[in-house]
Amino acid sequence: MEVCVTKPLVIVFPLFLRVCSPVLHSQCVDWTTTFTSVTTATRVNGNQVQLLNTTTIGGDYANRWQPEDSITWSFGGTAEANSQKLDPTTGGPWSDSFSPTLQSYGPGTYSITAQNDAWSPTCDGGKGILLSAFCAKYGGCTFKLPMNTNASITVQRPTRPDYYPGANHYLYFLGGVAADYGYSAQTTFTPGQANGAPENPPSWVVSYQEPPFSGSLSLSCTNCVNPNVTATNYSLGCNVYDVVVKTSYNGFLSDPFWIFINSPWNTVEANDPVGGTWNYTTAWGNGWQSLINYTTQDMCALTLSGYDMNEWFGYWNSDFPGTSWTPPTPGPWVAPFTQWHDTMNFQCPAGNCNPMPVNPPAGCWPACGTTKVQHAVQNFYFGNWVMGEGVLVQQDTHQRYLDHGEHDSIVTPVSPVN
Amino acid sequence: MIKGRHALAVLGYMTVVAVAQASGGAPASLDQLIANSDYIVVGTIAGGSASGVTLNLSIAIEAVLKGQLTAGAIVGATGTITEPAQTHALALSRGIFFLSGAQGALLLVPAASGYLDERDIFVALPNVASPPQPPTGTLKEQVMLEVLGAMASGEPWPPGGRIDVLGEYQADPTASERSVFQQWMQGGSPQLITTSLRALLAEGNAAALTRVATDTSLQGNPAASSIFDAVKLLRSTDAGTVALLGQMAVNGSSAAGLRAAAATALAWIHTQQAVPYLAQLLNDPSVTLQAAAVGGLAGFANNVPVGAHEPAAGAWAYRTDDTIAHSVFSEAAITARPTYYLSFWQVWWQTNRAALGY
Repeated sequence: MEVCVTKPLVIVFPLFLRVCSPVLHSQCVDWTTTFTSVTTATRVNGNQVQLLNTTTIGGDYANRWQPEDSITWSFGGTAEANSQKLDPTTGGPWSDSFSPTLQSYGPGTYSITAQNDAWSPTCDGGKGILLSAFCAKYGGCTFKLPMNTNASITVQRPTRPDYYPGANHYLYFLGGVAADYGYSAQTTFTPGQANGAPENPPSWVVSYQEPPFSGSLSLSCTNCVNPNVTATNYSLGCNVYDVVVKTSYNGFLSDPFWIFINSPWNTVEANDPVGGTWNYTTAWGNGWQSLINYTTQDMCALTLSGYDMNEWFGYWNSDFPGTSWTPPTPGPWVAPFTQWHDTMNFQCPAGNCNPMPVNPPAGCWPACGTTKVQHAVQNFYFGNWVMGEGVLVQQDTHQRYLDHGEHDSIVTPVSPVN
Repeated sequence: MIKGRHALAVLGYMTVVAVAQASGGAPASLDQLIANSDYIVVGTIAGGSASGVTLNLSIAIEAVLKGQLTAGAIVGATGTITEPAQTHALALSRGIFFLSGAQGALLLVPAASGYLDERDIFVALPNVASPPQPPTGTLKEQVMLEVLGAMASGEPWPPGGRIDVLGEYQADPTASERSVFQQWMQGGSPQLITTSLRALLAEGNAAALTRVATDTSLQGNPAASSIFDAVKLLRSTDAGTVALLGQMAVNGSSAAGLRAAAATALAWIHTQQAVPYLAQLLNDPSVTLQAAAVGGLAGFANNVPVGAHEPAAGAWAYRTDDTIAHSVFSEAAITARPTYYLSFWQVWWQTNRAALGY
C-alpha cells in the first residue's frame, strides 16, 4: 500500500510533482492530532431533554479516523438504553444522542455516559485499529483514550396551577349565575412554576372522572397564561376532587390541581328569633301571618351566609269550595347573614273573601287550625334576584289554612341541575 | 308553561281586595341600616296609620343613638310597605327606628329585606323600656347592646323587624358584646344560654365548649340542636379543644347530636392530633360519624388546610392518588359505597398510624 500526496513544488514556475511513499504507522497520528468529546444534557422543550455526545478529531490525520462511541442514557440511575455507533465518515464532528420524553419518564435526573474512540480501517498496516489501541501500541497521542464523558440534567415537574392571586379561591356552581355576594362560579387560574420548561404560556388541560362524578368547568382559553374559569356543574360530593386541572408544557404535565366544586344544596329549618319555633304564626289584621324560618347549606352541610333568594309558585289548587283568596305574589330577598324566612299571610276586609281568614292564637303552630284553603308547589332558589332562576334548594307545598300557613312535603336537597 | 298557568290563576283570583304575600325576607344588616340612616332612635309609635302602601306615623323618642334629635320629642316619619293595605291605625309598638332625610320629612329605613309589612319597617323591642345604656363603642355596638339588653329583660318580644344578633356578632364581635354573652352563659335563662353558647362557640370559645361537654342538662334543652350546630363551626386547632372534641366524638354515652357535632368539627380541623379520634369513628355504626371520620382523615392525608376544601400546593407525605380518589365528606357517599371508603381508610390508618406516632 502506498499513500499519494500531491504537493506544490515551486522553483521558477509551478510544477506539480507527484510523490509516492509507503505508509508508516506513525503517519496516522502526529502532534497536530486532537481528539475531543463533548457530552451535554439540555432541555430541548418543555417535554424533552437531549442527551448528546459529540466527537471531533482534528489535525493532519483526521481523515484517517472515524469517530466511534458507546453511549448510555439513564433515568434516576437506571440505564434505559444504550447505543454503540461508528461514524461512517471521518474526522467529525459526529454526534449521537437520545431524546427522552419527559411525560413518559417523569421528573428526575436524566444522564448520559459516553465512551469515545475512533476507528481507522487503514492504519496499522491496513488491518484496522481503534485509535485507543493505536495510541497504546505506538504512542505519540496527546490524549487518553477511550475518552469517558458524561452529563446530566435534573428535571422538576412544573408545579401545579392555582387560583390567580386576588381572584376567587373557591368555586360554587350557582345554576348559571356568575356570582352572588361572596359566592362565585367564576375565577381565574394562574400557572405554577415552569421549572425550566420554556413554553410560555403553557396550555391548560382539564380532566374529569367518569360519571357519576359530575364536577365540570369551562375555561375561556386553553393556550393562555390566565384563563377565566366558570364552574358548569357541581362535584359528586363534598370534598370530592372530580375535576383536575394541569398545565401542559409541550405535553409535560404539571402537578395536579385538584378541584372540588361546591354548590348551594339544601335548606335547614331554623327557629324564629322572636317566636322560637320554625313556624311562627301570629294574628295579622283580621287574618294571620306565618313566618317559616330557614338557613341554607352547601354540599358540605356548611351554613351559607350573605346571599340572594327568590321563589316561584306553580298552579294554585283550591282546597276550599269557592275560595276567592288572592294568591300570594312571589318576590326576591337578601339574606345578609345565615337565616331567612318565608312570610305567609292573609287578611281581607270583612265580608270580601270566601272564606274569611281567622286570627290564630299567637304561636299556635304546630297546633293551629286544620281547614285548608289553597295550595301550590313552591320552589326556593339561591343566588338570584330573578324569579325561578338560581340554584333550586327547596321544593314544598305552600299550604294556606284558614288561620295559618305551612310548608308541607318539603323536598331538600333538590337536584340543582337546571 | 307552568308559569303561564300561574299567571292565569292570578288573574282569576284578583277579584277581591285582600292582602296576601308569600315573599321571603330576612333581617337587614346593621351596617347597611346604619349607613342608610341619618337618625337612629329608640322610641314608640305614638300614632299613625297605614293606607295603601304608605305608612304615616309619629314616634315618641325615648333615646337617640344617631343624629340631632331630642329624647322626649315626637317626630313624624313616613314609610313604604310591599302590598297595599286598607286604611287602618298602626299598633303602638316600641322599637328601634332607622330614619333618613331631613327633619320634617323623615323616611323609615326598613329593618328587613324582601317582603315588608308595617311590622318590618323597624326593629321591634319589648314594650317595657330597658335601663338606659351609656353610649359605648361604635354605633353598631350601641344598637347591638340595646337589642341584647332587651333580650335579657325577659319581656315578651312582639312580632316585627328583628336584628340577626348572632350573624351581626359573628361578623363583627366586640368585647362588650362578648361580655354580655359570657354573663348569659353563666346565669341566663335557657334561651339566653343557648344564644350565648351559639355566639361563643362560633368564635372558638373553649369555655363554651367545655360547658357543652360537661353540662348534660343542655342536651335536654329544646334548642340543643342549634347549640350542636354551633359546635360544628369550631375550627380551633388548639390542643385542648381538639382533645375535648375528640373525647366528645368517641364517647358513646353522649347524645348522638353532640357526638355528630364534635366529630364534624374535628373532621374540619383534622390536625394530626385529631387523626386517632377520627380513625376510631370509622368503626362506629353511625353513618354520620363514619362520614366525619372519612372526611377528616381525607382532609389530613391530602393536606387540606383547616377551613378549606382543596389540597394545599406542594408535596405532602401522606397524599397519594388513592387518598385523593377516596376523599369525600358525605353521608350519602358513605352509604352508597361503604366498603370503598371505610375499608380504604381503615387500611390507611393501620398503614400510617406508627408513622404518625400512634
